[in-house]
Amino acid sequence: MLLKLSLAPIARLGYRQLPDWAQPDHPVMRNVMGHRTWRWRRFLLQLAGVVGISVVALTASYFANQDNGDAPPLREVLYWPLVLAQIAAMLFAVAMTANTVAIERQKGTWDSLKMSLSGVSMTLRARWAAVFFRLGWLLLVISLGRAVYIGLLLDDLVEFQGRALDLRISGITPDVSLDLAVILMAALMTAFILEPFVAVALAGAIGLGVSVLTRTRSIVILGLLLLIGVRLAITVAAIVAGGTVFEGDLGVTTELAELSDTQAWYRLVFASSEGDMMLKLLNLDTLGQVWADVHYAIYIGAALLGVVLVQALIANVLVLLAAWWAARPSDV
Amino acid sequence: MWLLFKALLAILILTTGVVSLAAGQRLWVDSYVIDVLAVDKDCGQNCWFRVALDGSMGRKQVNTALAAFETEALPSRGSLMRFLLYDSGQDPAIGSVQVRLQNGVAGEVCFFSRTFTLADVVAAFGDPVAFWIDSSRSRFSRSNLGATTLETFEMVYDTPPMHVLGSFEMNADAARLRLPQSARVDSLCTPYYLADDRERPQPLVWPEWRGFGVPVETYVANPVR
Repeated sequence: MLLKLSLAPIARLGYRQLPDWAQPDHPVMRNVMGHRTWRWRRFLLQLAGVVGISVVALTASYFANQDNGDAPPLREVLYWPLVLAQIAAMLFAVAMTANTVAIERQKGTWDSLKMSLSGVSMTLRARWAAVFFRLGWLLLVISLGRAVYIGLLLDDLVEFQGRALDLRISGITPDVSLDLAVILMAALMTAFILEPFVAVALAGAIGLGVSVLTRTRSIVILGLLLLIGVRLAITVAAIVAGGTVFEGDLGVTTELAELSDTQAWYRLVFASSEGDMMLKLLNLDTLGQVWADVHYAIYIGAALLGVVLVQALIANVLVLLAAWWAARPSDV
Repeated sequence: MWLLFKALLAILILTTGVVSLAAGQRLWVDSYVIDVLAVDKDCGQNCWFRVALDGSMGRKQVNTALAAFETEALPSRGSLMRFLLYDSGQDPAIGSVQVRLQNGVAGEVCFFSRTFTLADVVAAFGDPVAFWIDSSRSRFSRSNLGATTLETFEMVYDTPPMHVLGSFEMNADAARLRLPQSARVDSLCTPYYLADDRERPQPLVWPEWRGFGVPVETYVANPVR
């Protein structure tokens, strides 16, 4: 109860930023989310689950990374658990929205929703927003893990009396001022923080799109499996692409400097945005080497922030399109 | 999208502030010099400094490149040369050369000399802690050198606080069991990593430099705090 009371003001502040229809006390959201009350047992179960999964993942990762008896760096220990958590979050998001229409049909509410002025649109958007509430615990774990990476990067940045960034931008192409480098570094961190949320939003929106395009339950399941397969394939391809550039003591392969700038940029952006390789990129040694090896790579933070924004825009458009498609009078 | 823009703006402002604070430490933390290595100019043509930074390597001849050091970045990737100050002393023509690794810089300083042999190294440092031999064709451990042709070998001889890079040419069969004491030592180097002193457990001391006839005038660890 004490925890609930202490978190309540923060939650209220967060909820105030949301649009009306996405707030948990909105009637449609209440309907979608069901009757959710604060229960100690449920909270403790979730907490135990998160702690248990984290301990198992971190222990497994620690031993997997142990080399010659030396303790592996924290970044390496956290890397795979965070990648797997991110993949799980995306798959959960797809699964939670891909059956939206099928559920309403099953409940027999779909036809009455279509009769109302904005019932379909509101319900679909509420289902999409509900994904963030339901996956809140997982997104929290991912965000905490990512906060550790940012802390480690900041620790790198204060080396040499804060000149560590100067050292890394020395001699790169193009020559950039320290002020610009600071802003680009901040852009990279911002993209890094927002990425899991936008990835979940996009996955949920794609699931929603599938739900309005499929009618029968068997096709929904087929579509869901197809989506999960495609999502996994893209992630694996991005991790493999990332493996060709991220490796070794300095964080990058020696081949990176030999690639054409276009090839190098493509691999860096694809691996970072789709394969969670931003976790490897957020290391000052690695960044310094990437900036030195690939022309204009100092701008990669801005580029990745742009990718995140475009993904968010696509997710938004997909949700609106799905709502429009489902609300068409012909779709009865 | 509006929510995302608000979140993005808030996080961007926050991270810019934090990174600026990290980078702005120089404004309120006093400068310090971690290592000063002074070398007599007489070292001349046979004496080089090599600075290996960030996995890349640059090399400058002491008596010809002093003026260039402060302004000219070595052709290495992400060179850190701007942070190395090379001071030619009061009179460059007759004075000594001083190498300062200011604020702690990852790198190493090597003397390249053709006059030392492995025997000199062994006499000064004793047995190595670690030892590798490379040939142009493959990497061997000391115990399994198996080639039979005459090859040029490179050796790396680790003996803290120094490491030694040398080379020799001989029949590989003969090299199998015995490393020639006459093997030429190409360079004597400081430990690779002279970094921010937070990462270094203790000051480095190299009195042994003198034993090799390297005209070191002074070496001071952490002279300024």
